[in-house]
Amino acid sequence: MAIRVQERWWAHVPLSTSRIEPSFFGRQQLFGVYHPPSTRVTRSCAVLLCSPFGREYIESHRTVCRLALSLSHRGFPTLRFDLSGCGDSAGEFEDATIDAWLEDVTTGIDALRAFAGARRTAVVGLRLGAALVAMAGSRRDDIEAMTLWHPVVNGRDYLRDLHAQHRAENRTPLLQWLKTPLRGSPEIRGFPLTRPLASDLSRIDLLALTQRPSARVLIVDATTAPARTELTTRFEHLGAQVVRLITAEKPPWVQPSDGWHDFVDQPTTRHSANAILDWLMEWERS
Amino acid sequence: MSDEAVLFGRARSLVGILSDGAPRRDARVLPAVIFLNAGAVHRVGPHRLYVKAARMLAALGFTTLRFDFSGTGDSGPRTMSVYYEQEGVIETREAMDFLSRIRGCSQFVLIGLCSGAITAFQAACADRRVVGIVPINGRGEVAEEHAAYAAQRQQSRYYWRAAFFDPRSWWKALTGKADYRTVLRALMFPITSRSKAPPIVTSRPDEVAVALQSLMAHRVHVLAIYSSGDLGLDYFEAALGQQARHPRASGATDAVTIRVMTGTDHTFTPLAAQRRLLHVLREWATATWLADSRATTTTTPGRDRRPSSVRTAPLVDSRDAPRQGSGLPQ
Repeated sequence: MAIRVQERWWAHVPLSTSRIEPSFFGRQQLFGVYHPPSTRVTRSCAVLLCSPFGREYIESHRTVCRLALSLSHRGFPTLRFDLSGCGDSAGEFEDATIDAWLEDVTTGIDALRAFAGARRTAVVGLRLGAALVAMAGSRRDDIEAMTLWHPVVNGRDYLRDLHAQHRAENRTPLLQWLKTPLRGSPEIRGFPLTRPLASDLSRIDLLALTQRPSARVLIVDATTAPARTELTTRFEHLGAQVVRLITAEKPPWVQPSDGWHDFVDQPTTRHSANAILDWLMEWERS
Repeated sequence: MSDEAVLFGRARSLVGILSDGAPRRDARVLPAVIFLNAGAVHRVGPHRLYVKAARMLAALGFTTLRFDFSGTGDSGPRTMSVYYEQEGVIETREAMDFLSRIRGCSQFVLIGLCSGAITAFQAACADRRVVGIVPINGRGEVAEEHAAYAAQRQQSRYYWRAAFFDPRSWWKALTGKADYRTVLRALMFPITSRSKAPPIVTSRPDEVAVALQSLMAHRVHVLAIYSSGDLGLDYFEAALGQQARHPRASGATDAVTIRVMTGTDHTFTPLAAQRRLLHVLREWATATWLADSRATTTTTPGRDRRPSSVRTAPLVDSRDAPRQGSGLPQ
C-alpha cells in the first residue's frame, strides 16, 4: 500500500505548548506528557509514543516531542512517556529490566485511554521502544495500529552495535577492557548496562514473536537495515497488514552535523514523521 | 519520589520538574536549587545527570527545579526578541519567581553545564537572590583557532598519557591499523606547539573577571567544575589569569571552589566521572549549607502510591487567571 506523504504537516506545526499536560502516572510513577487534540474535531483514536532508552532517548527527544505535537494538531489525543529509570520517570536505570518496561507500555496504554476517553489505540515505538511495543502488542489484541520506527529487531545485534558505538567514542580502561569479552562493557555511552538488562536485551527477537503485534503495522527504517524484509514477512504470516517505508534520512537519534538548530528542529526526520502521520490518518479514517 | 510536573512562566509554557526537599528536623532554611539546560539537551541533563543530582540534593533537604528554556525540551517556542543568552537569564529569574510564589523560596543556587553554566553566571550577576552557582565546563566565545589548538592538545595528551602505555595501541600500530599521520602529529605536538598557544580571544574577558569579583564580594558561593582539557578551563584561565589557579592568593574569598576532574569529557560520559561529579556536588552543598548540622532529614513515608488510573495533574502557576477548558481530569 502506497503512502501519500504530505510534507507540509510536519514543517508547519506550531510548537506551542498551550495544550500539553505533563504529569506522573501509574504505580511506577512514570513521567508523561499528554497532548490533547488541539483541533475542534477530536479523532476517535488515541496514540501512545514509546521512546528509546539511554543516549538514543536524549538525542531523539525533540523528534518525539514534535511528532506528538503534530498528532495533537491533527486531532489525535497523544501521550508520550519515559520508561522506568529513564528521563524523568521514577526509578534508577540500574534497576531496569525488559519485563518492567513491558509493564510500563501497558501502563501507558491504560493511562492514555483514561486521559483521552478513547478505546481505539495506536502505538508508535522508536528503536527499543518499537521492540517493546511490538512485544507488548503481541500479548494483547486491542492495539489497532502500530508504527515501528527504526525498530530493534534482534537484541544481540543491537547490543553489538551499542558496544561498538561506545568503543568508538570512549577509551575503555585496559583492565575493564580485559573483562569485556566475558561480561560485556558495564556501561554504554554514559549509561550503566547491568548484566540482567544486557541479558534481557540479548534475548529480544521480533522474528520469534508468535502473535501479530497489531492488525496494521507500519515499519519505517533505513535502507541499510538487513532484517526488515524478514520482519515484514513474519508479521504478514501472523496475519498483520504490513506497510514498509524505507527512508534514507538520518535517524532521529543521530546527532545532526549542523549543530544546535538542527538538533532542535530535526529537519532530517521530517519525511519519516510525515509518513507516520499520513499512515495514522489513513488508518483512523478506515 | 517527590517529583512533581510544573508549568510556569509568563505564558505558562515552561515545563519543569519540581522536587521538594526531604523534611529536616532543624529549622535550617536551605536555598532552592535550579538546574539550567546544557545546550539543547532537555532538563534531564546529559546522561540523566540533572535527574540524579536533583534527587540527591532533594534527599539532603534542598528543593530543586529542573526545567526547559523556551525552545528546548518540552517548553514552548521562543517568543522574546532578545538574544538566546538574555532570554535564558529572564527565564531563570521567572523560575526563581515561581519558586518564591509556590514554596516561599528567597535564595537560590543555579547549576548548569556548558551553556547552562554561562546562564547561571549571568543570572547570578543580575539577581541578588542567587547565593550560589555551580558552572560546569562553562565558557564564553572561543576563537576557532584556539579551539583547534585545544583539540590537538587533548589528542596529544591522550597519546602520551594513555595510549603510549596501552598494549592495544601498540598492537594497532604494529598491525597497520593506526592512523600514523595523526599519531605522529599528536606525539610531536609538545615540540611543535612550543610557541605560545593561539589567543583564546574571550568574549568580554575583562567583564568576566569583574563580574566574578563582584559575585565574590557579595558572598556568592561558586563551585566551578571543569573537565581536564576542556575548553572551558582555558577560557576560565584566560579570563581570570592568576586567579584561576590560586583564587585565594588573589584575594578571593573562601566562597570560590575550583575543581578540575580528570578522566572525563565535556559531558561526563564515563560513569565513574558522573559518580565523582555527584560526590563533589554533594560535598560542596553539605559543606556550604549543611555544615555543623546535627539534624538529619527525617524519614517520611514516600508519596502515596496512586492507583494506575489516576495521574498527578501538573502544578500550574496560578498567577494568571485559569484558562478555560483546560480539561484536566480530576
